[in-house]
Amino acid sequence: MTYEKEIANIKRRDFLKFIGKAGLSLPVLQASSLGAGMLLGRQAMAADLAMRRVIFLFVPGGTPLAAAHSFTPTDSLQLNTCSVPLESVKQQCLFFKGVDIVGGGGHGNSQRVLGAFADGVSGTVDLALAEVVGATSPFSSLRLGVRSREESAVSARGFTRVTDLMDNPITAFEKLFGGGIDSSPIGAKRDTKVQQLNLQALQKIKNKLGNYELQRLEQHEAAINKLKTDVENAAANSVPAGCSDPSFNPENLSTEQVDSQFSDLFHLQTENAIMALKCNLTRIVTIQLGNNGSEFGATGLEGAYHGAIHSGVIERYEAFRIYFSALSAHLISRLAETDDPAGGKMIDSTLVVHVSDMADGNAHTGDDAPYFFAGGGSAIDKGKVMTASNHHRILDTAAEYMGAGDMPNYDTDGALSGVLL
Amino acid sequence: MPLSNPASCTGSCADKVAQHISTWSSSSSSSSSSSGGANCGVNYGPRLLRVLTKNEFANSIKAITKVDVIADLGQSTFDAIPADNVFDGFSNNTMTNVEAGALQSYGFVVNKVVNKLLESDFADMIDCSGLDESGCGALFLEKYGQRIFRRNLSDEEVNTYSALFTSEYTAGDVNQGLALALRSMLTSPYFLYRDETGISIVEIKNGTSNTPEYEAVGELQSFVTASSPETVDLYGRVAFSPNYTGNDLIVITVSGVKGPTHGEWPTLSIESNGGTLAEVLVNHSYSKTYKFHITDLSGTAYTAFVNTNAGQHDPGKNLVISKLQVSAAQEKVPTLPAEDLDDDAYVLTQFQLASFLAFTFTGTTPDEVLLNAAAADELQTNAQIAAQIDRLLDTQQARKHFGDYATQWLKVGRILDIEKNSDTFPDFTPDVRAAMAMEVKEIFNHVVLDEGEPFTSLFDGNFIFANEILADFYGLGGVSGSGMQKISNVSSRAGLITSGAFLTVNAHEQDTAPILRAVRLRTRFLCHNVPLPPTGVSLSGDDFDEARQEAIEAWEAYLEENGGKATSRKKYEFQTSADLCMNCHEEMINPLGFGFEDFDAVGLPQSVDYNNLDVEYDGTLYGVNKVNGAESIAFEGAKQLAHELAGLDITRQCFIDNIFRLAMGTGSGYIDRTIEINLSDSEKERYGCEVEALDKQMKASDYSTRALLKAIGSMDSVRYRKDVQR
Repeated sequence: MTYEKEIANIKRRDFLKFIGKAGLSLPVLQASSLGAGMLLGRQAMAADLAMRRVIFLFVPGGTPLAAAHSFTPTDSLQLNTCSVPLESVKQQCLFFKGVDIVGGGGHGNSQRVLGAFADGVSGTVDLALAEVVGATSPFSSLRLGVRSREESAVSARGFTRVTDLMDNPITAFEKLFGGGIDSSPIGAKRDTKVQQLNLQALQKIKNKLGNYELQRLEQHEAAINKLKTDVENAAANSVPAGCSDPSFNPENLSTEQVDSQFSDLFHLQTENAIMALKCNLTRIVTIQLGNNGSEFGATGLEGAYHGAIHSGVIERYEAFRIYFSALSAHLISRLAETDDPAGGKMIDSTLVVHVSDMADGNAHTGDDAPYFFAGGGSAIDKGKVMTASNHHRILDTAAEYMGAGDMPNYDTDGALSGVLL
Repeated sequence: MPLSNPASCTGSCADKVAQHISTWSSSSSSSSSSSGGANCGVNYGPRLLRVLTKNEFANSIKAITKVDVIADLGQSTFDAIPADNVFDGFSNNTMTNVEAGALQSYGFVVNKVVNKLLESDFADMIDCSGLDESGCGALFLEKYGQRIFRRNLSDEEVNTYSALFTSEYTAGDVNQGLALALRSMLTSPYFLYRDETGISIVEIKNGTSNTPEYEAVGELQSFVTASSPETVDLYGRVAFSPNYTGNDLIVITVSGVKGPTHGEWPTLSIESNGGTLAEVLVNHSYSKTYKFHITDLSGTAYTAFVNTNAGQHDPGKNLVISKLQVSAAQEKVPTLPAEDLDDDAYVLTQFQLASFLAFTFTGTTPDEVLLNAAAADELQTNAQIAAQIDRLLDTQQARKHFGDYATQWLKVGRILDIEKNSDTFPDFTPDVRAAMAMEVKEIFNHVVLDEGEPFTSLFDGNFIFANEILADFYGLGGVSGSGMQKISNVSSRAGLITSGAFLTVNAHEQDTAPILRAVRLRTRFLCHNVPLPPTGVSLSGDDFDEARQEAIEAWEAYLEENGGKATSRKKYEFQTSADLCMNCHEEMINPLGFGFEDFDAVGLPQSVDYNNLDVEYDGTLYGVNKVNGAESIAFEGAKQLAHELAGLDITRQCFIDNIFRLAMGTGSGYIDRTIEINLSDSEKERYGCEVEALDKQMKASDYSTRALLKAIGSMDSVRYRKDVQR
């Protein structure tokens, strides 16, 4: 058993202990994903660390002439050309300077931004966290895209990218809130049977193949076990405030999958992410803007991002980057506005980790990339600028925030000091 | 290193630059890895466990259940099907993991499919009227078990899934049994993976296990059928007199009824010549099939099937026999291949081969014809396989599949939504985009599947496919209606290289994109290794920024002198003028891309651009067989380039390499240029041999593309596999 799985099992045992302490018996806990989420929320209230959440926000293409030139604020938090839209939320932010992207900059293999190629880790940080702290969530981690065309997901294990990145906000909402587990006793029995049969089948394939493809098959086995556990965990009773009847798109934003509706699509995915976190359906969300080729346009901006980056007209590149910062600010603001059912606001327990695949997209460099934290409540020393030698240490810091600091580090030096309070 | 200031390149800079440059010359052509036919022995393919692609999943669901995921369940449900990994531009799930999120998505979609079927009580799939739960389950497994798992179900699997058709799971509603069986089977690893792992040659030679399996051969003697089941009361019996050979198989399907008083299950005893051949406790209410290998009976022998009492007396403790067959038996032994295979080789089963053919040539699950052929061992010879491929290629599903393949090959999927300036191109409507997308598919299918034109016309043919809207947009006219039609003798265009979609996708909103056009031409049509723009050290430093700045200033001065207007060609000349950029752009990219300037950003011929500036479209392809090769081709415009390339060996070999990739999940020399998963030398040699052999076969058949596709199905590397390291 891997170390991560041991940790996950410990969490699982904690979870079962919690059920006992809460006076709830498993037979009562019949099942929907929302019900399972409710349980986790109550568990979380008892332990601060366990209610922390994280959103990894991937914005491709770096920033014009690298972060120091166009993104990083001054030490007194005077924002730069492309970070200006963050003005209203800058006190929630911790900006990193001097960030070197391990593996370098460039359009290809964007999964490196979440550490896919680090030695000894279990894939990108969102997947690794999913195994350690997401094991008992209905969705161990969640991936939402905006005009990514579901290509080049930044979540991966090495070169193999995960396949559950969802661009369509309707799909994401339906999967989150409409795909619950049958709550009747016989429904749970059937759901369990499905997973039992699939486990048996997988075991036979494993037996047949021996060590060949073993890693992939064990991943699949873990996935089936996860779903099996979900059935056991799920409950259909009360759910967190605002989660009993979630509504999709009350503002009637456009769901059309075209670049010109990028803003609306981002806003809808933001709401999906916040709702999923708030309802304890997951604690780990990755939001991906576009794809690693930057082959997408955005609302109100001329042409495609890639073309703008290499247009030779820096203002065009800046316009996109400013636009993305406005989207980041929107996400942070929405977290700050939204009540956490456990008390306070969502921003108090949610860390936003802004990542990119380049420093300067035009020159494809990796030195001095635009990375920052936002939110995270009192656990994060915010409203300042600090040096971070490389982006792997930022990932390690995020993992430590999530209470998974013991999982294998992405950088040998581990988490940054001076971030967590 | 920085050309203008080599001294600034310190530390590892020189090594990194050298590494970067060295990538330009490695494995540039599809055939470079071949070691030549003379040394080729058995060319083993990679042992694969592929996750179904998004289309394969949806197509299989439709083929099996008749539920069309998009049409019946909506786009948002289709969007929930996990996405594909993409290598070298093609969907490729040979290395894809099934993570928890993906599994949830599969379950989400399958639940919707099953709920849709429940609305009509599975009327489009099965008619269980008159059958009890057990009978319905047996019928379902008989009709769909093999289709879903793409092979025969084992007895154990039949029994396992039969158990779902009991009140424990159905609660008295047999439709819930069907729903549960479908949910289980459509999310099973046996459905989600395309199994191309084969059987070990050692096992084939030595026998697969210590407990041999037997199968029926010769005449089948049937004594009880599902339509007339026999109920055997406690102490009762049914008896027959089969003819035995001394090596026979008794197959019996039976269910039990618990005794009403003591709740015990009945026991089946098979008796003959005063002895007991077998005895089994029938502790299930669903129909379960048992096989008994009998060796001690010969000739006609009275045989009784007795409900013997092994417990307490309890009338009502009954047996229900729904099938009873006797036949001669033979041990199941896979056929030993004629070739002398290495001990670490694996041989695809007939069912695995059937799946390979179906997914490779139609993108969906094997149909009944293929499965029946597999069951009858009729996918053994090249002629049998070729006949199946011929049949598959004539289906509409093959046209859809290869149309999608063409779209990925040319990377033109974005034609439907790529941003264009509507002021400059007001006639470039959604209908034009849709027709352009169709045009690529139609041309590909017309040449490759129909062989309606010579192979080379794929690249430079003087015909197009268009509906009225596209024909009018191209300025050709003469077509009415929305259907795509072939228009011959078109002088303004030349094959896929000048297709509207290829030219439009590789262009900006108003401007053409000479860089994109050059790179895509090389990578997609010639399989050239065009390096990614360099990263990190080789582009960092003040020298480069300074050079770029100078270029920007020169560009602005040019605009100033020319009323703020410039052709795309001029713009990119300035933009790539820095010395470091010119390393690649001077010969590899710009001269080739500039030769496309006779077509605008929406694929229309132009002699002046949208600024009314004259365009220049003389071009040169430097490096024909590889990017830094010594050969060059000068040309005037994209049409002439297409004519120059159409008949080249490298063009055809690249095409073949991509078809090989479709089949085997890897090109002959590389999986993807941008990832560090390299093929072993042995793999490169084997796959190179295969591609070379395919090329020879295609040439020998007068460049027949169907002959090429049929040859794919008979490759060693399809049938014989080895483990690979990825």
